[in-house]
Amino acid sequence: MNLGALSLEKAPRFWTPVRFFITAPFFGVLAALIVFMDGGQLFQSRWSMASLAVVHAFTLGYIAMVMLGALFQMLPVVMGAALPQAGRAAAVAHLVMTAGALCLVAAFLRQEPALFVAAIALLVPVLVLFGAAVVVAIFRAGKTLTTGRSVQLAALGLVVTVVMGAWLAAGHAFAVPLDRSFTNDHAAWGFLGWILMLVIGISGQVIPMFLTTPQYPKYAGKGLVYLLVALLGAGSLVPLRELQQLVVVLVSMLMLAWATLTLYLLGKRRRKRFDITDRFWRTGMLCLVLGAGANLYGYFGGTVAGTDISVMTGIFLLYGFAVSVINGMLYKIVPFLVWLNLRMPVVMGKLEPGTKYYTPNIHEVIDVQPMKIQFAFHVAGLLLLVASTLVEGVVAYAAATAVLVSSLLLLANLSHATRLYRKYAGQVIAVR
Amino acid sequence: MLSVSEFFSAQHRACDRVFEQLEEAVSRDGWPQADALYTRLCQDTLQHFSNEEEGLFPLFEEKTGMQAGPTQVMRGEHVELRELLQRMGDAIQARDRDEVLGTAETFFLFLQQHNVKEEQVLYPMADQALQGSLQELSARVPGFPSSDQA
Repeated sequence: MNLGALSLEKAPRFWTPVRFFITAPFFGVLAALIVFMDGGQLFQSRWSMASLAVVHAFTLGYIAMVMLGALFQMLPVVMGAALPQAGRAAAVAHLVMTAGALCLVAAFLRQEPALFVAAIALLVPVLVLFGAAVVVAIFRAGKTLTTGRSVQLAALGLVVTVVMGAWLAAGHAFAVPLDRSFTNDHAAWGFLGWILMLVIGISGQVIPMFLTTPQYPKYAGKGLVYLLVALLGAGSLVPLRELQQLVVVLVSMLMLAWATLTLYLLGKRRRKRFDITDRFWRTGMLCLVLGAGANLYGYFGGTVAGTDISVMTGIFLLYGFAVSVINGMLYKIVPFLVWLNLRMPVVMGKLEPGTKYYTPNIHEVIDVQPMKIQFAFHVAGLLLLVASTLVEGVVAYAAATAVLVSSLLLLANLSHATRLYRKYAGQVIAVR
Repeated sequence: MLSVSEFFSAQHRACDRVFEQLEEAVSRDGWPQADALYTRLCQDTLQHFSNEEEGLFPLFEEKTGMQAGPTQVMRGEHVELRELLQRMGDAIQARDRDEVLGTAETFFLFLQQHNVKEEQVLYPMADQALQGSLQELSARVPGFPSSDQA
């Protein structure tokens, strides 16, 4: 923590994080279109090329996309860790990420070696450099709290995930026989080491602050994240079946415990008013409980209605947990960023005394009602996706429709905010 | 003896509680109660600001020699928070529920990020810088216990 942390002047410009945020729903649309084209076959196996395409549309195009944007915003303001040339770096990273994610999705769908090579060439440098920059920036910031340490470990998890992913993609490109257990390690590092690690770190700061819950207990801080990364390391490095089974059980327990704790804290919110972020987070935590349970059950050979439940587990963890939590956070962050950037002249004391200068309040930036409608479609999409793993046929199309509508509504809501920013940002200059 | 962090953070929490009650009163159109809670919120918040601007900040600047540093940033944010408080008050007077709640949400989010910065950066720095000067602080900040009381 240092002095730079205090200054809003050090906060990145509006579009630095927002360009990432606004791209995410496009990948939601893309994922829905793939389900349409595929006709629901992909729900039968996690190994089908269409399901790999959909998974990566979400993990890279939606989840990592938003998380990168959020980190570009958070690091300088919250942790006092400035990334060098953040504005320009963000613009380039966004472009390369978008292109790389599109290449990888297309590569899975078309089984085209050149596309896999392009995806590797685009994604590996940008994500590894970003991960390394975050790790170094937080070390430089000096003494760090739980959030800083979790974010740092998450960045490390991102690097490990990407390197493993590149190796797997090279296997697709050059027809090297792939060891499927390695895919599990890639998925485990991606979900636990990157996504969950980051969410745990950010929640510790954000949930008590924005959702007025009691603080997380001390043991859910640094201890939890060190334990998680230790288990993950042991599970993927030690080729001992009994140990790996133990790790799966322990990690699932940790997920269950943390999700339950978060649900308990959300139940203790002091502000009783309806809050859309709260709804998204509760949905996310409930899905983390279900996903952890399904993972454990499936790992030891459990099936539902005779089918393997790994696809269902993936839906709970990625769409139900990660996408829900991120969607909820976007509804807190984006309106606040619009307002904050429009108020900068006042906060920085650059306005002539006595000047009348109107800024819309946060509810006017994105109205509550359209967010509620989008939430309803998101939940419908989630339930229908889960149903599609159990029932073949028309349900898959219904699921794709709900995901499509939810993504388009999210895009519409975020665009409303950015249009308002553009409209009023003109005034800022006029006043200056 | 009470530390800077403890004393000033406790004031943040106390103001939060009043804010939460005010917001709840407005959501169920309890306007007379909202008027009273708003008055209290203003009193408590403005008192806290003046504790900082006239007590803690000048002493901090004196001891550290940082005039244009973090305290200046915090003063700037206080200006914005006062303005939001005023806007909320105008909306309460006009009984404009949507505007009150929208402005309340805005005020709350901005206030929380402000408080986090004070509690995680400025107060810990002040705890260090003002070691041995707490007597002076208690002379300037009403309610801050002097060592003979503690």
